[in-house]
Amino acid sequence: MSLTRTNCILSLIFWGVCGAGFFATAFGAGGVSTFAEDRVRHLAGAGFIAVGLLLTPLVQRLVRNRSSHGAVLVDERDERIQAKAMAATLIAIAFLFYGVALGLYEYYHDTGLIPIGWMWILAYGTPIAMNLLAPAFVLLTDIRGWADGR
Amino acid sequence: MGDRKPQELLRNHIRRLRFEHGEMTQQELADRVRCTRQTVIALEQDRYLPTLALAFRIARVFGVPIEQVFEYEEPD
Repeated sequence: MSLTRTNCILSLIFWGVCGAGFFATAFGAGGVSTFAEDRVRHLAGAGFIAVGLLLTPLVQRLVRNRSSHGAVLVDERDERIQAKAMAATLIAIAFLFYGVALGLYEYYHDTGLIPIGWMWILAYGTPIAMNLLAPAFVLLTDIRGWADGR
Repeated sequence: MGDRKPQELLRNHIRRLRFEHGEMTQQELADRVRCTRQTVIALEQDRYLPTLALAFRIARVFGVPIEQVFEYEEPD
């Protein structure tokens, strides 16, 4: 398996766990309405993000060092795949944010007030979504050959 | 030419040339042209269009003109 695919799978695993932990923290124990005032849940949520940000590249680096043996690990094809996948990720994030924002508007339209906890969830949820969508798109692009020029 | 896209008219002989040059492995070729083995696999399966630089490096490794590595079929 190529290093690109290995890194993507590692990223999906770590950020999947971190994302599940964050959203369980945000939506559990009182829900979104109490999330903004609960400092412990804030720290826990931030902790999950920090674990993802620190642990994922660390493990990827360890895997890279073990598998290098002087061979080229990332080449022009990998760069093309990543460029195409990042473009798709940005578009997907934009649509996701648009969908969530409109969904919140519709859901809270009658009350006229959106719980402030949703701002935290949007803020922290965006990097989680990016770190899940990006490797997913890289894997898809690699496997389906969307960046191969054929 | 029919419905074939221009990219589909490009073929290569990398696999044959590898075997003709001391049964070079895909990893050996990848190391010499500075790409990954996955890229060599994609090239041999006619799935990937290389950059011009990579195409020339491959031809140089085999010691043949680039036209003997990559074959472009003129559209009708």
